[in-house]
Amino acid sequence: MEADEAQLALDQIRAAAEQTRRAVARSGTGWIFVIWGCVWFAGYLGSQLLGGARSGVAWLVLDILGGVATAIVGMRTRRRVRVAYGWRMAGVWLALMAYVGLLVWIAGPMAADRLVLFITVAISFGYVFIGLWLSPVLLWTGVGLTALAILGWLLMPAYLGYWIAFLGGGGLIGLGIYILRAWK
Amino acid sequence: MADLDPVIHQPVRLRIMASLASLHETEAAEFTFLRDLLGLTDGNLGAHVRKLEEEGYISIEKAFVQRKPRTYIALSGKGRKAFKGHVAALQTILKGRQ
Repeated sequence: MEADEAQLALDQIRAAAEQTRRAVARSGTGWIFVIWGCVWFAGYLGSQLLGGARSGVAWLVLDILGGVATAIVGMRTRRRVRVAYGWRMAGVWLALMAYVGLLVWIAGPMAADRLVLFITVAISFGYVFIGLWLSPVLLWTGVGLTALAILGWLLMPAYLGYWIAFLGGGGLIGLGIYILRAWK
Repeated sequence: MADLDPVIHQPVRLRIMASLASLHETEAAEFTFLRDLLGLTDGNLGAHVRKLEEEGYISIEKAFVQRKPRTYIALSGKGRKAFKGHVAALQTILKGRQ
C-alpha cells in the first residue's frame, strides 16, 4: 500500500468518527446539559430568593421536570445509539439524591450557604463518578462545578445561590449550546 | 509492526468500523442510524455487517424500542483491537514515507 492510500484511509476514519460523534451529541448530550443548566439556574435562584421549605419544593418540581425532559431526550437518542447501563445511571442519580437528603437530615440544621454548598458538591460528585465511568466531559464538568461552588462559598457565601445559578447553571447551558453548535 | 487487516481494509467496512470505534464501549449504534450516517442502502450495510460479524468484530442485538424492532450494532473487544491494529499499520506506512 502506498502512503497516499494510507493517508486517504486515515482521513476516511477521522471523518466517519467525527460524523458519528457529532450525530450522537446533536441528538442527546448537548440538550441534556441545557436541560440541567436550566434546572440549576432556576433552582439556585429559587434557593437564594425563596429560601427554606419553598425552595425545597421548587427543587423537587425542577428535578422531576429535568428527569422527565432527560428521559424524553434519552428515548429520542435511543433511536440512534443505545447506551448500556442507562437505567443504572438513572439509579445512581436517584440514589445520590436520596442519600444527600438523608445526610442533610442526619447533619441537622445548617446555615443556608453551607447547605447550598453541601448539595452542590454532592451533586458534582455524581458528575465526577459517572464521568470516571463513562465520559471525560462529565468528569471535568463535575470537577469544575465543585471548584466553582467552593470558590463562591469562600468569596461571597451570602450570595452563593446567585453565584451557582449564573456561573454553574449558566455554564452548563453554555456548554450544552457549545456542544450543539460546535458538533453540528 | 501491525499488519493491515484485509477485512477492515475494504472502504465501506473501514467506515463502519471507524464509526463504531468512535462510540463508547457501552454504546451500540442502531442499524438505520448507521445506514443514514454512512449513506448506505439496507442491503449494502447488511452485507458488510454480516461479514464483520462472521469475523467476530461486531456484535448484533435485536430489541424492541417503543414497540418497534431495532437492531443495535456494537464493536466487540476483538473488533476494537483489530481496528486499533489496522490504524497503527496505516500510520506506520505513512511514517515510512516521512
